[in-house]
Amino acid sequence: MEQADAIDHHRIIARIDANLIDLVPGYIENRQKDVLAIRDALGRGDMECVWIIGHSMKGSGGGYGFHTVSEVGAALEQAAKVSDGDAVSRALERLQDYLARVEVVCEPDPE
Amino acid sequence: MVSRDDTSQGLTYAAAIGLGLSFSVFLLFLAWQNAFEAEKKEFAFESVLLREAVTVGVTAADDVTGSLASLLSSIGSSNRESFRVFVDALFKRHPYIESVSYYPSLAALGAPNGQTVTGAASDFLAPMHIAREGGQRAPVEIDLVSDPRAFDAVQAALDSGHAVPSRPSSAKADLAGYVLLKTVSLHASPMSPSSDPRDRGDPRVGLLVVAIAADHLFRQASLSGDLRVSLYTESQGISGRQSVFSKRPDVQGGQPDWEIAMLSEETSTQFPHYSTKMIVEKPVYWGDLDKALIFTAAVLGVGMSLLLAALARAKEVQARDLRERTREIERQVQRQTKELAVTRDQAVEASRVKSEFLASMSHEIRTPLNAIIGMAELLNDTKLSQVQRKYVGIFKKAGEALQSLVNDILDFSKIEAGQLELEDTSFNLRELIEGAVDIYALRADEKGIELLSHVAPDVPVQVSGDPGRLRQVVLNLLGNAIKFTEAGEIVMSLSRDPGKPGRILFSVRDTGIGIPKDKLDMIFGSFSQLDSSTTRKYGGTGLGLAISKRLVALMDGWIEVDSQLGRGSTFSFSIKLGRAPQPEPRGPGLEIDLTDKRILVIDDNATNRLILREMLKGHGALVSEAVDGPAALEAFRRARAKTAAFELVITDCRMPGMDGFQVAEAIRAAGGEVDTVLLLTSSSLSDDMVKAQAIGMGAYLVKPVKSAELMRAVNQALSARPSAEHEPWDKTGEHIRPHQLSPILLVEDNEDNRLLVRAYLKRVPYEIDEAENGEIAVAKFKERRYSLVLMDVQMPIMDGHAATRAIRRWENEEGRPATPIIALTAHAIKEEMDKSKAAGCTTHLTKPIKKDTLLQALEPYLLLR
Repeated sequence: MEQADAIDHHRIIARIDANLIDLVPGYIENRQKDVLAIRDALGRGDMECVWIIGHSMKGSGGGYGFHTVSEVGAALEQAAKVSDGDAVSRALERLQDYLARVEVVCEPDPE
Repeated sequence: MVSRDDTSQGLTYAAAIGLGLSFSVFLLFLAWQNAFEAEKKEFAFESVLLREAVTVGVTAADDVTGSLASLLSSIGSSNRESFRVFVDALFKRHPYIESVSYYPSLAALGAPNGQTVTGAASDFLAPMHIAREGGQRAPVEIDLVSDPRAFDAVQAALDSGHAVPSRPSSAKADLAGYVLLKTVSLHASPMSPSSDPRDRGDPRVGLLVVAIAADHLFRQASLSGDLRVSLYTESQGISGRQSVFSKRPDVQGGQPDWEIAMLSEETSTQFPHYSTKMIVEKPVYWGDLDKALIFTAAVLGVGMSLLLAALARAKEVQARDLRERTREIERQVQRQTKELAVTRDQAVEASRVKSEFLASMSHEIRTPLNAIIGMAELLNDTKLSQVQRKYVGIFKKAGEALQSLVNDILDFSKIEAGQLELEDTSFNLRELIEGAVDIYALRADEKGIELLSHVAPDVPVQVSGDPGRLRQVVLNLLGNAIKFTEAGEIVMSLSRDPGKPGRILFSVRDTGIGIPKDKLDMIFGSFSQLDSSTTRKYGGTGLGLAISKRLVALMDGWIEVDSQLGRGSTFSFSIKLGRAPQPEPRGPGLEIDLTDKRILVIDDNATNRLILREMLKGHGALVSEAVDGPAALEAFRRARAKTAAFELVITDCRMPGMDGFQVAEAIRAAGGEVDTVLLLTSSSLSDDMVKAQAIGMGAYLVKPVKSAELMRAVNQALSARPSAEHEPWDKTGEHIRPHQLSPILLVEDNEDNRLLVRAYLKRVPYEIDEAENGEIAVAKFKERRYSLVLMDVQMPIMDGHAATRAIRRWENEEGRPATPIIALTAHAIKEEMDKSKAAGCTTHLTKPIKKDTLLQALEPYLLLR
């Protein structure tokens, strides 16, 4: 879901819970590692690997506030299931683009 | 094949024709009788005249014979002329006397076969024959030689001395009649002409023969032509009856008529030595009868038969018509039944499709709705202007209302479609009620309403039923009560339903706006609120009570309402819940012994005082009450004066006049060293808690008061362990220090998610242990005691459901109480929830995980504050 990711020309704003703000750099870094891993897997034709990474992204993105990550994860999962390499590449591009443009805004913890 | 209809039809015809024929026969019989009676009457009339005439005639003939004999006896045969004159005179008077003969001596008569008539025959005189002048017949002569019958007759006449009849023996005589023979004794006394001459020993005996023409006899009476007449004579000593006259009517016309009956009359006339018998007969011919009546009867009979046959025919036609119509109706009914069945199937199918559609639509709607509400929450937490915040508030509220409506519609459609199946699982009823009341505690507090719950001590704690649906009903009633109450109190109470064993009565009483009497019936209907203004003012779908009513009905119960406008309403429902085995108590609070402990309860709310008193008394405490601070201080002083000081004070925090803190301080200032339990409200919890700790109050309780929490707080206060308030109890009842709290086991394969949960729970005083999959989780669970398990469902190696099942199995084997396991599911769909529940999960949480929802899910099981 895109609601949380406000698009501002070249930047994408993601509002992240204050409790999670410390985790964000690590999370983004892990996704960049995922990009590389998917590219490798795609080269090998290892769709199971793509599926696992996609599934993991789908399950975690929303929790952090990176709904696009969840969406891309779902797309990867789906593409891997039908071994659609083009779809995997398209999802990968979207993820890279997102990771390049996302900017995090901290949501204050009401407590 | 003869059908029943044909048989019945044949019977109808037979009955009609039979009836017609019977009637005809009866009519004919009557007509016949009538006609025949007429004939009989006519015959009787004719025959009576004839009989009279003949009787008179034969009697006269006998008399005449006697007279002549007497005359001859007296005058003798010599005076023939005189005799002739006399006889002529007789002829005139008696036209039927045809001739008179006199044989002066019997010897003149020849006897047949040389026989001799016994009698003296001394004179031979010539016989004298006198015939009627102008008569057509010769005088009858007696020829004893040629006529043996005459001989017998003469012999009989001689023997008897009386007149004896005989047939005329002369061949010349063509007399249709008879002759009377009488002996004449010449010296017989004229005075006794009928005396036997032989007795007198007179040797001279003559024979008088009087011929009587029977046809003249009958001529006396006008003999009608169609009568048959027969005249017979019968003499003593002469065998057989002699026919002396017979007349048969001439057959008229060429065609003989049909003789249908014979009428007959007999007349006998008895004389000393003979009798005459006349038989009159009359044949009745068809032609004689008066046939008009018979024909009329026949016509009537035939007419009646035809009429009855026509009636039968009409009836048959009518019956056939009716049968035809019945068949037509039956065909129509069959056709319509088929159509109805098709329509019903279509309706059932439509209902099923509708339910499926509603279910899937509700699910589809809920997903974006969750997003809307979630986004509204997020947006609300950002920096917003006052106007923007107001707008956000409105759309969040609208989203929540819509979500509630969708949930209600889904529930309602499921119930209506009969697709809602109730669970039957064991649960803690007290906890369920207290939990439900807790949910509304904050809202009640915000509105300044006292929300209280009271479970009667005899209500079973552990029961079996559908806790989810029961909670739904209770929450609905509580939600309504809060919605429609602006001031006062709402009391949720549970008791055994009096007079109905095994039933538990739940009631929610409020001091709200109430319901008009005429609207009481409609409030349980679908989409019904009192009026549209109610919906505008208070919101809601109007489905809550309709759903509640149906849910209660599914639980074999009923719901009712009692209300007074402006004073409040009480909704109550009674359901049957199964009893379940009591689980092991989780803390010592429940078994606390307060026997003879003096406790002062201070609360301005009478219901709350009542609840507290009942709870404390149940454990043996001696409870006094005070409505406010001054009353409490007065009670405290009085008690001390009596050296029966209170050992514990339980005071409400918010009271008019003196609040709970002031009361506690005043008591302390008055020199009372007494443990105090403070009753706090959820809205001001944090501030009041700090204050309570600052002044060193023993313990506090968050309203609404729960029995177990009260006991723990009381125990804590009496044990003078103020710092132990936050500490949970383990099975042995030992207090556990915060650092001793059992950890939470987080089972999640995704590292990012593990980090996320940890981040959300960083302020929770529980250690978090991690497991990357189900297998590791089960192994860790067996090694340590955990307060709670957060279990992801989709994991490699061993998924969450399998792991939960393994944990439950192990707990069961070890005899351990069930540890709360919260399933983390990817979708909020019923199938996933059902699967989690079936695996043994306590509850579930849908991803993506939000901090608020996570804490809310954990709150019932952990001490988070």
